[in-house]
Amino acid sequence: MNFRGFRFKIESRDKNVGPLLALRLSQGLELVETAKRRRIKASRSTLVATAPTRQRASTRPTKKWQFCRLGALFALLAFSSCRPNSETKPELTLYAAASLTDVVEALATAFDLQDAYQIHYNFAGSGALAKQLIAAPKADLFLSANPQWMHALVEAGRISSTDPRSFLSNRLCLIAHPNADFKLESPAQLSALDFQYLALGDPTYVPSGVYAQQWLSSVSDEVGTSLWQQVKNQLLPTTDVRAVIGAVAASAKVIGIVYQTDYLAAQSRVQLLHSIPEAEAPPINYQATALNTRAVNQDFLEFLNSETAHAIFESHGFISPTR
Amino acid sequence: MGNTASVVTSTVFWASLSTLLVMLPATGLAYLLARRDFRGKQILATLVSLPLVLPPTAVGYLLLRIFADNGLLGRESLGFDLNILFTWKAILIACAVMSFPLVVRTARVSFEAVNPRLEAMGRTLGHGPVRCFFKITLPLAARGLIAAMILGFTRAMGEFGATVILAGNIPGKTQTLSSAIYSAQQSGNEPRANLLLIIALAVGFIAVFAAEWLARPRHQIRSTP
Repeated sequence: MNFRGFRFKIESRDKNVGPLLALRLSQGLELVETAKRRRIKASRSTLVATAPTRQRASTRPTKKWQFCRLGALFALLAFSSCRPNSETKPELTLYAAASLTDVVEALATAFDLQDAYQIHYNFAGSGALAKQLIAAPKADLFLSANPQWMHALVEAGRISSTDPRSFLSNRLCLIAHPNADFKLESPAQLSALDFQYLALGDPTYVPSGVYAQQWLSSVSDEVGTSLWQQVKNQLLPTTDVRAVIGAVAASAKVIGIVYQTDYLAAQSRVQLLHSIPEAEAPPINYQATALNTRAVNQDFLEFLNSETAHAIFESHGFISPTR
Repeated sequence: MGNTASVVTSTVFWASLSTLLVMLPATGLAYLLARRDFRGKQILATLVSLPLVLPPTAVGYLLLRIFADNGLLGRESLGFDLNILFTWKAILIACAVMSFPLVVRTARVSFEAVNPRLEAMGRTLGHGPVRCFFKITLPLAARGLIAAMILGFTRAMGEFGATVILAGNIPGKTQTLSSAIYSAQQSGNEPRANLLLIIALAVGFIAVFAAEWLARPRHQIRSTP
């Protein structure tokens, strides 16, 4: 509603109430009728402030122009945000588990992919990525944090069962907020800690959560109840392993299970509560596959098993499977 | 499936509760924006509308910063714990914040559609401003307000981005219809995803149909004798 016309209305109403009273009483009913039908045409009465009426009448032709101008503005916005495709580099799309976020970028730099290709990364929980690839295989390479989601791709006919190769391992650890004063001497005492939630990747589809559930199920207290049974009602499932860091960093009452590498990447935001020895945890097995037959895919997969790549993995805290 | 039923009922419950929470302040603010003129009105109107145009995840992140331990309303600054993060209270806050602008905007339009002459007339006929509001403005704007309420409710029902950041996606605790569909789809549990989708379609259809029905033009106006 027009601002100025409106102000005018209020003023005219307040100032003229007294003298207009008698007039209104006589014309009131008629006015109610008119106004109820929302007829904008002015009734002849003087008590009606004429400004809004006139304004409405005069805005009618310009309204069309307003629409045109607005339309033109959006068209301009749409066109100006279309970037000219000056990049002639070939594109390479790489889907990778969220835990590989930092290391894959380092690898791509070391492999000189950055210069030769326009790389598109898609980092998310491996389950989410596998679902996307099953729906539409719009990636060249896929690095999954567990073999199960590779298997889902094999079942969906996107890759053959001999395609996935294991190339990396990791370990799990328990983390807490930097200000939390939890002390954990042995993992069996986990449920004795006064935490509200245990954040972990959703165990139904996020690999780190699946591994965490396997570990929690394998540890029991002296009575024989598994940790999983004890903490089952305090779980905070997240969409990928990096989201666990976010949840733990937000609240001192939340602890979480992540890969050691995620803890190392977020040391300033969380503290280490307990590192789970490799022997106690289920084997963590990252697998890589190509989704089409481009030559660069095979080269990259070879590169993942090279000495250079292993050095990069280890500098990020990963465990090379060859060791 | 018992779990599915509880997800649906709790989502409807949270959405209703957040709509009720929002309705009173939103109606008041909408009336103020429609009928009063004051300094900084445009700024206030813009601020109120922000959650509508911001990405929901941005709102979620902002709320998380506010309610995190070291945030403005966190444990460290308040000295006590509101215990909001990852609880049902967080869902209410996220839903209320996200649906507030939608309710305000719709209610404001419906107040603006009420001819101010009618209110002025009521005043001259001896009604005070409060009585005028309840006897004239509110009944005339009622259909628009109900539509605003339904829109707010549907926004709260479907809210995902802010909720998932602030309240998480905890089955049996803070899982809503939208986050349950997300989890079911991500984990490949298609029967459950399909079931939830059908429920979402039904709830959405009913709500929007109700809004359409309430906002339908009334062709016949009973004339006063």
